[in-house]
Amino acid sequence: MNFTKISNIWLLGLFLAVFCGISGVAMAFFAVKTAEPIRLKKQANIQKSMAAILPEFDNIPVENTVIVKSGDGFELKFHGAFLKGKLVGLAVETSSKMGYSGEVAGVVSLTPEGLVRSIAVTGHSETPGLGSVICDRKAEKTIFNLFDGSKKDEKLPPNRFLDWYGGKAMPSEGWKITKDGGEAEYMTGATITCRAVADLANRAVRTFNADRQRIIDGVHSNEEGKK
Amino acid sequence: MSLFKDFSKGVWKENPVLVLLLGTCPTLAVTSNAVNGLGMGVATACVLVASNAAISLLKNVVPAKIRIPCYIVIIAGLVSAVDPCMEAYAPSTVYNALGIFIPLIAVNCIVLGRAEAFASKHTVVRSIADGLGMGLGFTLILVMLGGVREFLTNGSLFEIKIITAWSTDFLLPASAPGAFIIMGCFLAVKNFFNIRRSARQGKIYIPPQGLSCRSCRLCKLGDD
Repeated sequence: MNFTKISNIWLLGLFLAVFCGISGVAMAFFAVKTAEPIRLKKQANIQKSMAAILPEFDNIPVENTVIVKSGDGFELKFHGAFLKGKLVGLAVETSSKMGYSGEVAGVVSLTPEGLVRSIAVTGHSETPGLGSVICDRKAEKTIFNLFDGSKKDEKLPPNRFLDWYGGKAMPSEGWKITKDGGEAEYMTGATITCRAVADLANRAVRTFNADRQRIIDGVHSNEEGKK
Repeated sequence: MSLFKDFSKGVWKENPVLVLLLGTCPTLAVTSNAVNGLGMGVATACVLVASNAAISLLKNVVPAKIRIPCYIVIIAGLVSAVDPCMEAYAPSTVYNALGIFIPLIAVNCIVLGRAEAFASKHTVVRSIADGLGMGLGFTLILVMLGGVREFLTNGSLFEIKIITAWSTDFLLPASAPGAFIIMGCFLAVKNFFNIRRSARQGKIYIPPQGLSCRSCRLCKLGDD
């Protein structure tokens, strides 16, 4: 096959169309082929961060789910964590569309009273080194603790932007970063990501407060139904 | 021997960042620390080798007049296929480190530049050697640039704090203007070495042939 000398504009267009078609089919093939493993991997990732931010529990929170639609059209999944039959905390799967590049998905751990316990970001595509600093929990390594091996397997590495929300009750108009006149921590260069995290926390708490009784009853009846 | 030359020229003589000055956008944007530089470099090198091989194979099939759009389709297709495969099958530590850079590679000038300047004129094996060399040169400079910027901002290297008491309030090296300044220093050092070596041999430094605008065919698409 030799098409290199083609100069007819229609034939060129046809060639390009066929070429794009072939590569489109190849891309679709890979996308379909990998959809299921990717979904499972994401699920495992969410479970892992959920276990890290919830207090001690003895049920399976992922299987105890109440789905609630938030006021602005997001679908939030509330998972109840029980210890010896008593509700000790809730993990809320939520997301924000305010990220710098696409959606920021996260899990917010709430106490049964509606205080934030901790936040973990489970999916984001923020700029590495800027936005990712806000979202990722990474233990800070220094040249000293690299060798003496101290605190190697800390369960939940600290992150001052995410930990800021811990133990706080939401102000009535929602959390805002200091730049917007609120109190939440933010970092120059990653303002938008910080807003997204605040949005994430606000949505989780607001939805929980608006529907608190139904959610708590829901997870309780789920738990009893299993026995 | 010439195969080794195809490989080694990318590392120093025709380094994509320091001499060709291609792909400056990802270079400056991503290298806020050394780990990011390594991630971007390795991911780019992989795509570069694959795209050079594919384009070299198809060089006699693609019509000359629309070769550039065809190359872009090949590169973008490769990148979009590699991304979900890595997400699904690579260990999550690897994907977490590299995955975020992969979509950025589709628009990296180095990949298209090597396709047009090298892979479309040479055999598959030589194109792969060229891709490996360019990828290695790109990775090296990105790691060095990232290392310098990270050290100046945080006192750390590869996210390991070397000077624990270093304050993080001085953000210039981590921001875009700082990236330009440090890259300028890198270019100055490279040119200093080149000029001094030529002067020792009693010559005047001339940049490698074929790198100047006059030998580039991109603007002459309508003529041939």
